[in-house]
Amino acid sequence: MKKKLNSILLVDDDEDCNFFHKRLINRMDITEEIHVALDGEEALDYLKSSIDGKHPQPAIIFLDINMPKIDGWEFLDEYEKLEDIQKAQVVLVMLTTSLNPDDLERAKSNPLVYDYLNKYLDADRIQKIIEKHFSNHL
Amino acid sequence: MNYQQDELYDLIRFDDSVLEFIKGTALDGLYYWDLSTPQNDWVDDKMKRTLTAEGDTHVIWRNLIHPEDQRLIIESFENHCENEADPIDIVVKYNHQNGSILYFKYNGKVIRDDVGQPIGILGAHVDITKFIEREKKLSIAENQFRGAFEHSALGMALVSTDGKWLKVNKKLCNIVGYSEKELLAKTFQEITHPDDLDADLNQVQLLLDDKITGYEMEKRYFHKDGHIVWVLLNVSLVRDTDRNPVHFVSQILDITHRKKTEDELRQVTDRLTLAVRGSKIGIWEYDIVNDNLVGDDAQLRLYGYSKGRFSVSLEEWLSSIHPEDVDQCRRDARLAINGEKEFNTEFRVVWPDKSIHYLRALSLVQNDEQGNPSRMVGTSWDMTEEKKSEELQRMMAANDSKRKEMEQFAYITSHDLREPLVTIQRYLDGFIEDYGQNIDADGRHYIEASIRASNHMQELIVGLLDYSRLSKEKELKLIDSNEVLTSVIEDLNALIMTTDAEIVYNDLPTLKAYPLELKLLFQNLIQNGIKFRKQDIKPRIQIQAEQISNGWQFSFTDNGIGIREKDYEKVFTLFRRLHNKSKYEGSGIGLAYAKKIVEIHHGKIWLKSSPNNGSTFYFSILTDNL
Repeated sequence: MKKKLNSILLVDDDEDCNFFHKRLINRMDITEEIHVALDGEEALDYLKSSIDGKHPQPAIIFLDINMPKIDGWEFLDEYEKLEDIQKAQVVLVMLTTSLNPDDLERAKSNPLVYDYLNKYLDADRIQKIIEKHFSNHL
Repeated sequence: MNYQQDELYDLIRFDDSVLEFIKGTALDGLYYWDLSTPQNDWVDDKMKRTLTAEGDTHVIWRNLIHPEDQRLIIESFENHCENEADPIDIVVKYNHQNGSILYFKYNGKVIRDDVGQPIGILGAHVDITKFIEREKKLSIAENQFRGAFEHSALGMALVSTDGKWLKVNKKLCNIVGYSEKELLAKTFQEITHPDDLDADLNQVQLLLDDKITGYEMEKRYFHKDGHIVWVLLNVSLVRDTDRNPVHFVSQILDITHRKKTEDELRQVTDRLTLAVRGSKIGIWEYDIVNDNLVGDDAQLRLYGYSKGRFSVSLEEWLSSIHPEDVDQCRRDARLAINGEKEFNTEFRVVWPDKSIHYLRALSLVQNDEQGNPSRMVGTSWDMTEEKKSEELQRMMAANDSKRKEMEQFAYITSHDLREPLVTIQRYLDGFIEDYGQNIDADGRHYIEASIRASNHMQELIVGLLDYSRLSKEKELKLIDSNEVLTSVIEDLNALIMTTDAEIVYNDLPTLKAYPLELKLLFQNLIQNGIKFRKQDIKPRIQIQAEQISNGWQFSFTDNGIGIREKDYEKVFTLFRRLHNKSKYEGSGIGLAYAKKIVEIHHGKIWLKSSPNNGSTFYFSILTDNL
C-alpha cells in the first residue's frame, strides 16, 4: 500500500472548476489534503505560511492562467523568488481553457512548469502525473 | 555803247560822290600803289577803318599783308604785268593792328602810261573774313563728324535714297564682313535678309514721304561669309533746304549676341513652359492691392474650365472652393498676406460639373518698396489621384485592422464561450456519474441530449477558432504532399478503419505551401469524403494532382452521396449545412475552412458532382512565384 500525497494546491478563481477538481481528486483518494486558493496572491500567501515552522510545500500545484489580481504568469514570476522550502515538492501544472498555441509555447519554455493542460482535468491525466513523479505513491 | 553808260561814266569821272557810293557799297576798300614812288601806297578811308584801330594814316599798307601772302601778291602782280589776261584775283590775309587776321578777296589791275609802261596798281578789296571763318567752322564740324563717323562704336553709313551705300565706317564693315570698297558697290537691299526687307522698305517709304522723321528696327543682314547678323538699325533722313531728300544716315548696332541670349532664354522659357504644362502645374498671381487673382491656362483647367481667362477676386476664388474648406483657405490666405505663415495648403475645388478635385497650392508673398505685401505668386496642382491612393491605403489599413479585430474577436469569443461550456460539459458528466443511477431513462435522456448539444457547441467553437487563426502570418515551406497525406491518413486511422475506407493516390508533388494548413485541407476533404458516404458501399477517395501554370491543381474524388449543382456554392459558406444534423454530424465549418486555406495559397476551390454519383473537389495551389 503506497502512501498518499501530502497536499495538492488548486489555484483558480473559478469555484465551479475548483469544486469539480476537488470532487475528482477526492474520488481518486490520492492526497491527505486539498488546498484551494482563489488567486495568485492567496496562493503565494499560503505557500509562505507555516505551521510550527513548516511550510505547506504541496506535492502538486494546479495553476490557472487567467485569473484576476495576480494571473498565472505573474504568479510564476513571484513563485520563482520563493525559497525552495516554500515551493512545491515537484510539480507545477498550468491549467487553462486557452487553445492559444502561444500560451502553450510560453508555458513549455518555463522550467518551473511541468505540464500544460486544458481544463478540466480528468482522472487519466492526474494518474499519469502521479505515476511519473510519485511512483512510490498510489 | 549805251548813252546811259556814257552818262554814268561821266558822272563817275566828274562827280566824286557817285564813285564814293559805288566804292562804299560794293567794295570794302580801294588800294592804289604808285609805282613811281613805290614806298608810298594808298588805301581809301573804309579800308583804313577796317585795318586799323584809329584810322592811322602813316602806314605802308602793303606791309600789313600777312607775311605768308607777300610772295603770292608780288608773283601775282608780276604775272599780271607781263600778261594782263592773267588777272590778279587772289585771297589775301591782312594783319589787323590788333593782331587779328582779316581775309580779303583782292582783284587788281595794272595802270599803264601812254607807252604801256606800268605806272601803278589799282586794287579792289572785298572783306571775306566772315565767309572764311564760317567755312573754317564748317570744316571743323565736318572733320568732327568724319572722326565720329569713322571711329564710332556703332556701324554708320550714309545711304542714298535708292539704297546705295555712299559712305560706310569701319565698324559697319566689321559687322557685315565686307571691305569698304566691296560694301560701296552694294545696296543695303542686297545684304538684308529677305524676311526683313519689306518692313525696312516700308519704313524707308514713310521716311521719304516725310511721314516719319526716322525709324528704328531690328533686322538681319547677311554677313559676307553667309551667316546671319542681327542688328538694331536706326535711320534718319537728311534733307536739303527745300526739303528734298539728300541721303539717309544709318546707325547700326550689332545685337547678334543679345539675340542669341534672348533665343536661349526663350528656349529655356519654352522648356519651362512645356515642363509646367506636362506637369499640369497652374501658375497664379494675386494682386493683393487690387484684389485680383490671375492664373494661366493650366490654372484654369485645375478649376474645371477648358477655356476663358482665370481672373477673379479673392471672394470669387473662394466661391469655387468646397464649402468645408473655405474657412481654412480664407484663413491661410490671410496669414500668408500678413506674412505670418507661408501659403502651403490643400483644399478641394468644386468644378462647374460638380465634381470634386483636390488641389494643393504654394506661394510666395512679395512686398512693395514700403515692405507691405503687394502680391502673391504661386503654383497649384491636382492632388486627386494621390488623395485617392491615400484613401485606398487608408481603407486597406482599416480593412486590415478590422480583419485583425475580427480575428481577435473570434478568438476571444470562442475562448470565452468555451470556458463556461467546458464547465457545463464536466458538470453534466459529473451528474451522470454521481446521480445517473438515481434517475430514470427519461431523465438520463435529458442529460445526454444536453451533453450532445454541448459537445456540438464545442466543435463549433473550436472550428471557429481555427478559422479565425487561418489568416495569421505564416511561412511558406517546400513540402512533400505525399508525406502530408500519409500523416493525415494516420490521424484519421480510427475513422478509416471503422468505415473501411480506401484512400487511393499515386505520386503527389512537392510544392510550396503552409504545412499545417495544407494538412488541414487534405484532412477536411478526406473526412468529408468519408462522412458523406453512401450507406451500402465502402467509401473510396482518389487523390490526383497535375501541374498548371504557377502551381498545382489537386482533385479529391469520392464515391459518396454527391451534391446538387445548385448547392455547389453553398457548401463553401461558413456554418452552412446541407444535411440534417442527426444524419451527418458536423460544424458546417469544414469547407469554408478549406476555401480559406486554398485562398491563402492564391488558389481556387470548386467541385463537380451530381446526387448519388459522388463528388470531385478541385483546388489549386498557386505558390510557384511566391
